[in-house]
Amino acid sequence: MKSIVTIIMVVALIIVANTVIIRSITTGTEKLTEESYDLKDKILDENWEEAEEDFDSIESEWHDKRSCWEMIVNHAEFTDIERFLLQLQTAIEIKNSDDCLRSIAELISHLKSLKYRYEFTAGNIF
Amino acid sequence: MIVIAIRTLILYIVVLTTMRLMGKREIGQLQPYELVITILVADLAAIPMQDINVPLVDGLVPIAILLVMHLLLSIISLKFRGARNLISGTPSILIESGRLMESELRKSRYNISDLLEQLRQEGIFSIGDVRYAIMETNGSISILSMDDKDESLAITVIMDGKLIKDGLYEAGYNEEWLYSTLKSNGILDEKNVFFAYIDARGRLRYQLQDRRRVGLWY
Repeated sequence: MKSIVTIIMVVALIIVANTVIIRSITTGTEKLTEESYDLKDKILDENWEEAEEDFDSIESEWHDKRSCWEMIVNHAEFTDIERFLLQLQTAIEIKNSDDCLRSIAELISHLKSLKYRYEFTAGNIF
Repeated sequence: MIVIAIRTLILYIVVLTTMRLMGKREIGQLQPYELVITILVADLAAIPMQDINVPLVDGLVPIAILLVMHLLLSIISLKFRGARNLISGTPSILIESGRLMESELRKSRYNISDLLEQLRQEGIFSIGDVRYAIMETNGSISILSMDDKDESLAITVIMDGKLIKDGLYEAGYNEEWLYSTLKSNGILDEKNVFFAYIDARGRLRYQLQDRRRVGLWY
């Protein structure tokens, strides 16, 4: 009986934790991706003041998410995303739209891959 | 997290199947499913321990899944004889009345030199002196020599309240005999018996389930 209770508890814990984690990663990355697309529009319009505000919002959002995800996401992922954020910040400061667009593209690509990596799919299992 | 859990599950089944296919020789003193856990847990614990980029959860979830699998297989092994045979295998008689069982040796992938070495370690220097040599499911060899008083092996007929018909027929008895013997001892249902065997002298020896009578042999 004790063994069966342990089995049920471990399996239930894993299923619940998995649901919460996937939801957090999916909504978090989708929100950041959406904000990155908005930032891209501002940069294409060369609206640098609003671009800077959008960037600050993305950065603060990212730091919130990072502290939640640290226990589950491989830390190498954080290093990559933070490198693109830093490149993007510098490009906005010097108002270089080419570098901005390149960094945004790489940031979006990493956020999407992060989302797909933690999804419950056959591709991820095999 | 479920992805990691399923991957662990797949790897566990693959490694366990591989160990079973490798045969009893490689297993040593552990049951196959215990050995698999021993191998995997050590590695799983080492990865997050060495690489700080890897979250601890990546090591903890697979270990938890292995624990679940181990508990599950232990329960299944305890309750179902067929499943136990599938998971842990069955003992093989390698020598019977001084005669080598060639097909069992081949099936177990156990060569004669190793068997002779094992016998010598047990103080037996001739196959003719061996009444029974049995390779157990954990890879060890049990030997009954000709010097032993018992001329045949004890045969299990009830395990955890379940009748083992093969054993009963092998011993030359039938259900009618078993039930009448149990009835003459005041036992109306074999489910009340935890373990029963027929000894070398053809006597039925049994132990009742704990909840009915504790630790007594009749």
